[in-house]
Amino acid sequence: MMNEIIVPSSPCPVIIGAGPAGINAAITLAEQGIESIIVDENPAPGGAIFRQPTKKISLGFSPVIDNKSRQRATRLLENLERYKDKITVYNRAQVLGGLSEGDSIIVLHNNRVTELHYSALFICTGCYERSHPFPGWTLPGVMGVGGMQLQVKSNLVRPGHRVVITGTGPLLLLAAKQFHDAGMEVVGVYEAGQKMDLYREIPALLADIPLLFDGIKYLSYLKKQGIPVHYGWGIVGVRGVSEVSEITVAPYDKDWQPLLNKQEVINADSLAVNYGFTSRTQLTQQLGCAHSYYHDRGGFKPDVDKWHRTSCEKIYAAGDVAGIYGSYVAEVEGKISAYGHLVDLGQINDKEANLLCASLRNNLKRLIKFQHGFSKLSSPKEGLLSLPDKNTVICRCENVTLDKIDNAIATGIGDVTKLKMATRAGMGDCQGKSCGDFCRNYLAKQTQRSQQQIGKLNARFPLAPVTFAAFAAGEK
Amino acid sequence: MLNKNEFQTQKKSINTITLRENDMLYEGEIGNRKIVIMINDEAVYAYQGESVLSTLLSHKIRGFSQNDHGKVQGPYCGMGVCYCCMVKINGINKQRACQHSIEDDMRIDTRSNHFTTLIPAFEKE
Ligand SMILES: Cc1cc2nc3c(=O)[nH]c(=O)nc-3n(C[C@H](O)[C@H](O)[C@H](O)COP(=O)(O)OP(=O)(O)OC[C@H]3O[C@@H](n4cnc5c(N)ncnc54)[C@H](O)[C@@H]3O)c2cc1C
Ligand code: FES
Repeated sequence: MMNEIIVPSSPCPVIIGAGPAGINAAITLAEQGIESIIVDENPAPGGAIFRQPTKKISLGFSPVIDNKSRQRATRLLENLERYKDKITVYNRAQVLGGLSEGDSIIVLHNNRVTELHYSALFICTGCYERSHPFPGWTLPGVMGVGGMQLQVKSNLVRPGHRVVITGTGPLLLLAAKQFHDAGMEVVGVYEAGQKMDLYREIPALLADIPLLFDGIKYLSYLKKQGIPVHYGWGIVGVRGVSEVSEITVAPYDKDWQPLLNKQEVINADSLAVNYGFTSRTQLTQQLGCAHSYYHDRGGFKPDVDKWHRTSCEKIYAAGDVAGIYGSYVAEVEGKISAYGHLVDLGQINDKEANLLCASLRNNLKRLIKFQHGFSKLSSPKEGLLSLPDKNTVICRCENVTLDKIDNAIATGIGDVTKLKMATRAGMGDCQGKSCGDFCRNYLAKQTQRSQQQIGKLNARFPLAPVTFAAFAAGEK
Repeated sequence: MLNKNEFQTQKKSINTITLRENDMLYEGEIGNRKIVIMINDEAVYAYQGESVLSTLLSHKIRGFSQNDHGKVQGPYCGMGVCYCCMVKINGINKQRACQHSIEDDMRIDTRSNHFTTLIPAFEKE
């Protein structure tokens, strides 16, 4: 691992994010003889799905990872290794933002800030779990499903002992299996979507038989282990003194409004919750790329053309950042964006590129059809907005409760930026990554305005809090 | 905060492994070097290279991140996004536990996390 970022004598393509999208973009460029740099804030390449363990173990990957994922991850990382002459990977390197006029990004690595110029920029920053506030959600013991999963996948540590899983989507089933395999007691999975919505989409899900089969495999495994999966159920709230001890769940109606007269209380020390993902667009926003809103696909995402070019010159976006479609799509999009760059360089023409990408695009169509099979089941519904009560903290960084937001709305505030100025919600260290989605959706509901009118919180430089010392070190 | 000498004395005084009951694997299965670090002025075992968050979780410490409002909360995203896992590492406040790796002689404090010497984000509006 390199201790210091070495700025190349002439700018090369820079890829942000070493997940399936970013790595495949780099490999595709390398196959055509083009050198590139990947920067990623994680300690090792792999992204969210192929997160490598921080512990050296003989299996290589966490024992909870199934063989298929192990093979995919190994293949991807071996490929990356094969091109190590062409691809320089900087891990623990966090991008703080970019200067689009200067074609450069600012990277924090080893407490030192470096400006890195690019000839092309590939933004492959993936996504994060969307948070939906409910009473008690800030108590220790409540985590995102993926966040908890990263503990058993990458850190090989159990984040709790008796866990309830609530939320929506196929990740819940996979996580239930992995938590069980990690030695945690899984009380049950509470999927907000209705079973009928899943059955109705079977034609779409048949677009990818192996993936459908994976889902069936997880379900039958859970059944065998006696872990129940409840459809049309979800979270109401969490209680506990210093940590989680009681979790309340209830049946959800079709708008995901909990039916409180049928609620049940479960004693458990942990709650894993995931009602969808948000594209990690802080960089595409900060760099000035145009965005549009997609309710089912991670909220605002950068507009991209068929070669994954954004509206900004030299900037491409691929993978979950450009719409949440999962890791298989991310792999394909990473490759397509690299071909797009080859076209822009004049190294191949449009026709050749189309030919090279024909089978990739066919694949993409099938994978996207499959993913749309979950749209009905998993698209977040308005009922979730009714979960928090007056005293529920919405913005964790600035400790802003729902009643402060309600008061602001009562004064006539109708967009998230004004809401931020009035309440400080979204002004803290995470820059609104946690509360931004709720604030937008809640405002839209309460004021009956559109998402475009409500707008989004501006991403600001630096994207993460940084010490003066780090900037000073970079000046030397 | 302990000074360096106090740290060394405490470090020498540990000879039994503090039980890490949340570890998924046995000690023998883990190839990382086992080292002694300080959590809240107490010496404990950790594996070099694991995330600070997992060390805390493995020692059953789940409530930390005293944010600017002095409120204790738990880690949420586990991947560097939410800033709900901030602790003081080697004297520097507001470090995300989930994004830092354990190193020799590390001192972690989950009790304080004040806003110091950090560059605030520039407001565009
Ligand atoms: C917590 C979590 C767990 C998940 N687990 C699974 C799973 O088990 N199975 C599954 O099929 N799907 C899972 N997903 C979905 C899966 O992540 C994606 O479908 C897939 O990984 C997308 O690939 P990607 O390349 O687009 O992004 P990612 O794989 O997410 O890679 C993005 C990379 O960009 C880096 N990055 C982002 N911003 C910056 C920055 N400013 N500076 C430097 N680096 C940056 C991140 O560190 C990350 O490594 C999970 C998602 C999350 C959020
Ligand atoms: S747990 Fe979210 S930033 Fe560490």
